[in-house]
Amino acid sequence: MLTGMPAGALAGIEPAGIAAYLRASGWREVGTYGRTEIWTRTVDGVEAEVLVPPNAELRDYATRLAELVSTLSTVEQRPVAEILQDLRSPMLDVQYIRTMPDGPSGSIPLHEGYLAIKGVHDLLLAAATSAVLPERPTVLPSQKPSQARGFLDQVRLGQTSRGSYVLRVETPLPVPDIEPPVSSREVLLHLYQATSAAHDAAARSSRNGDPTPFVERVGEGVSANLCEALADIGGQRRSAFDIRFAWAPASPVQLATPTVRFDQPVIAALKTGAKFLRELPLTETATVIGRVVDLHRTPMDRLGRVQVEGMVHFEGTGQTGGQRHEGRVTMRLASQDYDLAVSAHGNGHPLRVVGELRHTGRQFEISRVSSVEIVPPPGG
Amino acid sequence: MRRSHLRYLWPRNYIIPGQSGTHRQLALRVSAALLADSGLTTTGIEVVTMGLDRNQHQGLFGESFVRVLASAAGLIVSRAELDVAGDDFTISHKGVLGATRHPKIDVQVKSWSQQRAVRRDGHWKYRMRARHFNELAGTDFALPRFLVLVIVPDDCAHYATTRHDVVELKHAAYWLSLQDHRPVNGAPDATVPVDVPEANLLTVEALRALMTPDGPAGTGA
Repeated sequence: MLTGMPAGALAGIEPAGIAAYLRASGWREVGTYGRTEIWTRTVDGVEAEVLVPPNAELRDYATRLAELVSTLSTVEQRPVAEILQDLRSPMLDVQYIRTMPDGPSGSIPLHEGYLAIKGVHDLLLAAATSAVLPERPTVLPSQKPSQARGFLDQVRLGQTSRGSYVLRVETPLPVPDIEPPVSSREVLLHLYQATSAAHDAAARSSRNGDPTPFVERVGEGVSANLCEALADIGGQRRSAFDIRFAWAPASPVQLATPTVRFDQPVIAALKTGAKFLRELPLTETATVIGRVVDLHRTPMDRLGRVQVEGMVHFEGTGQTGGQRHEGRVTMRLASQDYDLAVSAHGNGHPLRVVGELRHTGRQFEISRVSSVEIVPPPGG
Repeated sequence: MRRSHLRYLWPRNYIIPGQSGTHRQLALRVSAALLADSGLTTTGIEVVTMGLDRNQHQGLFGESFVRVLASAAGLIVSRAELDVAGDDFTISHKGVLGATRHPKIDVQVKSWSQQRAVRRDGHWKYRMRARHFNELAGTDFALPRFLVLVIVPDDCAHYATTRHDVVELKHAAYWLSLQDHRPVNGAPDATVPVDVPEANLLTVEALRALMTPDGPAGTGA
């Protein structure tokens, strides 16, 4: 077979990257031949083989690499170009944003392209902001935290590709031994959580015309800003798009993160949802005392979700000031406070939480927690 | 007239020998159906293969000579899937899904016409260009690699002789590992003497032996 792969296409692919890729995609090292490492993978009951040259200085390195890429393309049934990109970027988390504008594949109307890139930028900034903030507001502060800006500084826009017009966003994995202000992987997992939550809320809301599902997903990172950014990616024409998350092969993600697709009705609902979130009434300070009835924390989020059932006491001087309600309150707690909630749940003691409370139609939610403590048992 | 007709019908990815300076994709690739559709006879192919110049013809025959031995040994011969890989072939075992598996070696095939060939003291006294020599010399390769020298008749009419019970290909191929040689400096087109032992006759068995990691040339390590 003569595919005539240009040697330049193989530049920048290192043995360590190949090994990381192979390990992450189900191949295993079984021995050596010549100076190469033999890696195999069983596909449909038969064993496929690739030979990995140990260093890039070997003079037949490019030839061996071309064979390897060709075999991977056949065995994994993926285009050569995609495999080359993955091999070259074993340390990169990549999002592919596939926009589907009118017109020939591989191009996008200028203004739509501008909006799409702006949308992607704002989306990452919104996700980074909500990932680092200690609260989950419906509208993000206009002054973004410096950690969020720091995260954005390392994000790069890669080469676009055809079909129809695909933006590629690259973020390097955190460097070991260096404690960054915020882990890029943490932000991107949060981006996935927030994006898919916004999608679910928009899909539900577009079916029944009720925007309240957006409020229920605020705790997962949905905000007016995030919804607006997503809607921008579709441009003025609200063209459908999807976002695919390709995690760095060197550091695979255990959770499934299927592609999130946004069609026209969903994009329209995102716009409505964003407006709704911006117009929500402000929160009021309240104290909640009750028992912990639900605890939930995923690798997607730094904050864990806690539900407390009990008495809500509004402290404000306004309409609700001094009022008391019985109900269930949802809140997002950072690590230390979450641990308190876990131990309160374990020993059955009530939890007292003070924070900014919002009544979202169906339930109470604390968007900004100011204190958490376990109420000691009487006489304890 | 006939020739231009055939050129027109030629699929884009088949290179017409003699037209592009390479003869890798020989006219044989043209399917019988294509020929039948075009109303051409095998004479039509004659017209095109006549486009091979003497050196191309000799080189092509040398490569095919090695391919015949490899297929008789049950091995796969493939071109490097790279645009800059030169004249190298890879010989390997068949793998699954159209891929290959080890043992695997690289070979560079050179042909030499009998008239020019010099044999002395049990060796073919070949001279090769420095840049080709350097593609084989030394140990910094991932896989074992070999020079294969094919001695061919001066007259292409004598390349192959066919009878009912035998096809005879002339004359013979010899192998050599250059792993113990250092690459040479100097002009890439300068020539370097290489002694290929007559004892290294390339046979089906010899080819199989070259394929084993502890074969005559070792692993190249």
